[in-house]
Amino acid sequence: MKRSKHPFLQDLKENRIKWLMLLPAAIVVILMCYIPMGGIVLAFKEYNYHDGIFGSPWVGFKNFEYFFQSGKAWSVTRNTILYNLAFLCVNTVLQITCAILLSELAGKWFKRITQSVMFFPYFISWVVVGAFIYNMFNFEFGAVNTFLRSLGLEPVDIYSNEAVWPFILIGVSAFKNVGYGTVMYLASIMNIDGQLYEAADLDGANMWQKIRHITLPGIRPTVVILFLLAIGTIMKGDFQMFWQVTGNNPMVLEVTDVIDTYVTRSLLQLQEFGMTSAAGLYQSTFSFLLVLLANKLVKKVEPDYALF
Amino acid sequence: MKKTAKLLALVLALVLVVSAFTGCGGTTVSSSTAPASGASGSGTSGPDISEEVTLTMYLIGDRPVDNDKVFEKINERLKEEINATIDVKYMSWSEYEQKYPLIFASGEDWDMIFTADWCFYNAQASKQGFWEITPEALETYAPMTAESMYPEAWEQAKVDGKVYMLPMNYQELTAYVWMARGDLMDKYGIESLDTFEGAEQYMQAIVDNEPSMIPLDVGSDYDRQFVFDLLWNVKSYARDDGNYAVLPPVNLITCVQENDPEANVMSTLDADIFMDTLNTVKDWRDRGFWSRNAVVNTQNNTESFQAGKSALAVMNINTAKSLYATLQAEHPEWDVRVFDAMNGAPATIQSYLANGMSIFSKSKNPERALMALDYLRNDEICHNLFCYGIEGVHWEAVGDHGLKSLPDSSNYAYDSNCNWGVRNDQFWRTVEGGIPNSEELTENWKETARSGRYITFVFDDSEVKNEVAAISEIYNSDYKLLQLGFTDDPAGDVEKLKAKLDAAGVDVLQEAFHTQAQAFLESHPE
Repeated sequence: MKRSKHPFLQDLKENRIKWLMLLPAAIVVILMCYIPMGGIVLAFKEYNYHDGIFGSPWVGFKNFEYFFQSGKAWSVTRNTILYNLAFLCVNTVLQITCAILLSELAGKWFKRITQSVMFFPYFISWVVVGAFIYNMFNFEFGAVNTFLRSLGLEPVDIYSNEAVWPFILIGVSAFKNVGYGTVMYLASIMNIDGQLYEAADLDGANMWQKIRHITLPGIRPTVVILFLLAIGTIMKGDFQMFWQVTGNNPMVLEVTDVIDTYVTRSLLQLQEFGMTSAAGLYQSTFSFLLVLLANKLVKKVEPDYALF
Repeated sequence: MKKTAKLLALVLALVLVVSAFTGCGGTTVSSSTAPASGASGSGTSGPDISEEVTLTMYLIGDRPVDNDKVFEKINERLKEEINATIDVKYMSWSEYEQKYPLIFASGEDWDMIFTADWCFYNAQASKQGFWEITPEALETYAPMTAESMYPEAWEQAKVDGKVYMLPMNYQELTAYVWMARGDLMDKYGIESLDTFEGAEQYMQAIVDNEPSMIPLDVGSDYDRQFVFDLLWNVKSYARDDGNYAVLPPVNLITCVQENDPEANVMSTLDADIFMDTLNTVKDWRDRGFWSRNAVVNTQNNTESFQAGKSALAVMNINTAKSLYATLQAEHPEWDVRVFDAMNGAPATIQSYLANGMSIFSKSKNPERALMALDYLRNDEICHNLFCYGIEGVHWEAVGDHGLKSLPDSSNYAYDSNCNWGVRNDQFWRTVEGGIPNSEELTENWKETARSGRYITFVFDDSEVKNEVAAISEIYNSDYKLLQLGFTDDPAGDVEKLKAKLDAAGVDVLQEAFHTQAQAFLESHPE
């Protein structure tokens, strides 16, 4: 093939459809993520409404002190990371399992319907999920306690019991996200060359052997990429979920407070935009370092699959 | 083949990324606001009203059904007088704490807002969220207000020597009352709730006999502190050597003995009445007087009472007045009764800042907004429309200072439309046929009512922001639990809380409070 002097321009010309397809996503990312980054300066300012973001006076690193002085920095960071790791592992395993099960299922209609039903929770708002949880677990009139009482058992007080919340949160996260991920993995499985399975059949491989030696290796790139992306957001709590599902409940805050809910709470109470931006910057910086680190690791093990 | 698979995986991943980024604004909410667009005041010399403007006014509460009808009339008048009309937006009680600060930062175009010492006045004023009202501006654009404003009110409204609010022109007495269901009281033979014993008996009777009801369904919002505050006040005034004053803002949990000339501030946890108060709320919670999930309940106790889910509500007398009228119309069979909950503690004469109106610092027409406020406060037609509704539809006059609510008032109830910031003694009317024992209640309170020694004290937190942030966090989590009696080991939990406060730098905070309180006592001799 003839090489142009400007490989990028050449590429732009040759693959213009692909570039065009990328455009909407790029615009969204620039608008929603790159431009607002200018707001980072807020972390070093004492914000007032009149002078706005860029006009307010500078205060150096003063805004960062509050995050550490409140004694919360460690516990919210720990919660954020541990929850995300748990979500990542549990959801990934469930998603892959469901995807494989669905792909092995024969009935076309059954498959379609199951897939849609599993996907459905993804569209339910967290506010609604929060209301489900409240109606299930509230002490006086919740479904669970009403049921227990009708059996003559002692009602349980979920909202003041720290120990159960990690499980509830992991459960609702799976409820909402498994369907979505399943579809991604299913697409990836569908893409595996059918001849491989035919060959395996001829060699007399059973279903387990086919899954173990064809399906799983086949979807490895998807798994690695999704995993890498997830590492990047490991410092980011799913705000909606933590806020709505726990109802911002102070009784269990020690185990349910993540950086995002903490930041929002302090923003609402104090309206110190500078301080909360500082906490946000701390979070983003860590995320960034984690992505770099994870990518480096992948590069070492599987150079083909690294993001950059 | 492998290449295609990888590409597909990548595209899918991109889709995921894009969908994930829709939530990307979360922590950077503030950064999407437009930067300041120059100074807000324009240099006009006299009221120039040639250009017609629409002013946006934010109020707190649920939009009354007849809001538009009432404001149509107000706008007719304003259009004629100052060539402006008002467009009203409401933010509900359940969301105002979140929404209020955000509309200042949102870059939205609006002009006026309800404010109060309990509703972000100091916080927004010190962040330059409000347009400064200078005496000259008042003279020029609000001559009627300049004439009628109580001088004390003007003084109270000063933040760092500048005024950002038009406080109500109205002296308000507040005290807590119980609102109870007469039908249930009769059923269980409860005579009166004037004492805590009566209230306890009543709530116990509900716990024992009405499994579908919660006696006092306090929520986690602003009403969470009512019961604690009430008990605290009663115990505080019963002390022999002087009562405690909780210094504003309450989220810094600092108090001082009112008659202490040295103004030795302390944490409320260290006050001798704290444990006693805590034990009472704990006892009440343990007996099931409020929900075990009160801390996640976002409905406040008056809403729950109105919905028939609870048998008792605690509120201040002014809320009770309007709620009573509504409930009499909606549920006459409940036979709603109101009792003095103060148990001998004096009622409070509110600071004028308890209600007021302010102008947004980035309003495009601050002068016209000031003129509009001038009319809402001082023009009898506008004032009465805003406060009581349309005469002949929602109310009719009884004498010079009374009014009778008409059936339609359920669509625009008396004095409950967030009109409190424009209340004016000059035009004030009280409801006839309101709470039957209203006179008696007010008589009791009038004799003892007092405004606290520190009611106009304003804490300047600019030097201790980090401590304020850390301690507010404690107030809204651990302290909130104690206020609602959520503790199994009061003494132990209080000790833990004290340790947390120490770590958060309570010493530094109290030092600042002490210095400022001393200065306040010197500049405000009794």
